[in-house]
Amino acid sequence: MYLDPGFGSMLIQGIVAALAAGGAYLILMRKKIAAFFQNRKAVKNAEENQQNDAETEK
Amino acid sequence: MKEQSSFRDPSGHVFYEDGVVYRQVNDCYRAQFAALMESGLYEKLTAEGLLVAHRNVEQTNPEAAGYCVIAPERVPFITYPYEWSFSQLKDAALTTLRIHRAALDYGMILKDASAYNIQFVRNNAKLIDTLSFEFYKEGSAWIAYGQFCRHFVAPLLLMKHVDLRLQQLLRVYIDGVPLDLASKLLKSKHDALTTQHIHWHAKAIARHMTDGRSTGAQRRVQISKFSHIALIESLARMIERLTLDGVKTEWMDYYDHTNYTQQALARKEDILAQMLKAGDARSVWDLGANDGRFSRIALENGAEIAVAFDIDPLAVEQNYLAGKRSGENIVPLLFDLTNPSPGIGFGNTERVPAERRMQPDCIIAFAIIHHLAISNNLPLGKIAEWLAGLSPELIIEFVPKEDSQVQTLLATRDDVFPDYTQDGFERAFGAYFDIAHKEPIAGSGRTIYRLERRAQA
Repeated sequence: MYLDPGFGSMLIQGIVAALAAGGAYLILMRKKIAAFFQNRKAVKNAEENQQNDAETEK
Repeated sequence: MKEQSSFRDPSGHVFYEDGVVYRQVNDCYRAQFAALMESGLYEKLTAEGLLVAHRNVEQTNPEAAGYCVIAPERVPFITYPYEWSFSQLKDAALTTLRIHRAALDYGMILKDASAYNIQFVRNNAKLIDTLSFEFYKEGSAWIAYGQFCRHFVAPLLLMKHVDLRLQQLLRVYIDGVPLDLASKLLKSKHDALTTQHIHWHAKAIARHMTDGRSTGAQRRVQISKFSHIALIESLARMIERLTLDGVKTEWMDYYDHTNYTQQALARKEDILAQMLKAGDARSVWDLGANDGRFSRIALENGAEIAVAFDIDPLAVEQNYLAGKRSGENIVPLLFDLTNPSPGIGFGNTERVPAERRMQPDCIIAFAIIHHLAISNNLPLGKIAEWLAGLSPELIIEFVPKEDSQVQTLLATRDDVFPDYTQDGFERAFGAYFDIAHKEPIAGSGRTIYRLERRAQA
C-alpha cells in the first residue's frame, strides 16, 4: 500500500462503520419483519380465497 | 515520455509514445493485475462504464521492473476536480464508492480514492487508473477512507453548506481539503455526514497525529466485512442525497436576461454554424460557454469534441447535466479565463494548464470580449496575442461600446478604453489573424468574425 492511511482516519472509520453496520442491521431486520407480516397476510388471503371458493361451490 | 503526475504508486506508471497513452504494469503488481482481469471484476466494471477499458500491448520495451504494458481507452480531455461542477464531483465520488463496493464482492478493494483518478468520457465518470486495485484482507479497514473524505466529502459539503466557490480549495490542496480546515468552515453543520466524516474524523486525526513518534509498530483497526460494506453504502446514500437546492449564482439564467431578441439569437446560431462549416474544425473550445448552447452547435456542425469553459459553477452544472443526459462529447469546465488553471503539484507539472492538455482547432469566443477588455482591463492586443497562441482559428463576437451590456459594465466606472472600438478590435486582431469572414448580427449592433491565424503569428 503506497498511501499512508493515518491512524486517526482508521480509528474513526472503525466507529462510523460500526454505526453504519447498526443502521444496516436495523434496515435488514425491518425488512425481515415486513416480509414476515406480508407472508402471513398472503397466507391468510389465500386461505380466505379457498374458503370463499368452497362456499361458492356449495 | 513518462507522465509527470504518475510517480506515487510503485505498481506502474503512465507514458506516451507517438501520441498514444500506455500504462506499464510493474512486476510487483502482477498478482493484483491478474486477479482484476481474471476474477470478472474488470468485465463488470467496464461493462457498467465505471472503469476505462484497455487492450494489451505486445511491445513496448517495459522498463526493468515491467511486467506488461496496456493501452487504455483515451480520455479526450483531462479535467481536474477544481474545474468540475458540483454534480461532477458528486458523480466522481459515487463512481469511486461503487467501484470499491463492487471490488469487495470480488475479494479486492480500491487502494486509493483520488479525485484525479476519475475522468469524464461523454460526461460519464470513470476510473482511469487500472492499477488502483488491491486484495481485500478480511477484517481490514478501507485504506483510502481519509483520502476519500479529503477529495470528495469535504469539498461537496463545503460547496453545499458554505459556498460553491470553496471548491477552489482543491486547487490549493492537491491531496484534498484538509479535514481540520473543512471542520472549521462547517462548524455550524451537524448532519450525519458532516458530523461523522468531517468533525469526528478531523478530531481523530488531530489526536493521533504524533503517534509515529511514540508508537513503534503500526496499529491496526479491525472492521468486519459487513461493517465495511455498511460504511460504503451509507456514505453512498448520504452523498446521493446531497443537492444544491436554493443555491443561486450571477449567470445561472443568463439566456433569460440577454439584450438580444430570439431572432438575433437564432441569427447568431446560423452565422456560427455557417462559419464552423467553412473552417472544418474537429476540436473546439467554447470560451464563456454558459450552458453550452454554442458548443452544441459546434458538435452539430462537424466538431468531434467541444470543451465548454465557463466561470459560473451553476452554468457548468446545467451543461454537465444536459451532457450527461444526451451523451454528447461536450466537456463542461469551470474556468476563469483571467486566472486559468495553472500547473500545480510537484515541479508545477502534476496538473497542467488547459493548453498543455489539448490544442483546439478552433476557439469560439462569443459575448466575452467586453468582459475581458472592460471588466478586466485587458488591452485588445493582449487578448488577440493570447488567443493566437491557443488556436489557429477563432470565431469571435465583437460587442461595441454602445451595447447595453457594455454600458452596464461602464455605468459604475470611468471609460478608460478609447481603443475599444470596432476599428481598434480589427487592428489588434489583425496583427495575428486574417479576417476570413465578417458578419454583423442584425438587430444587435454586434459583429461575428471568423479569423484565421497567419503563419508568421
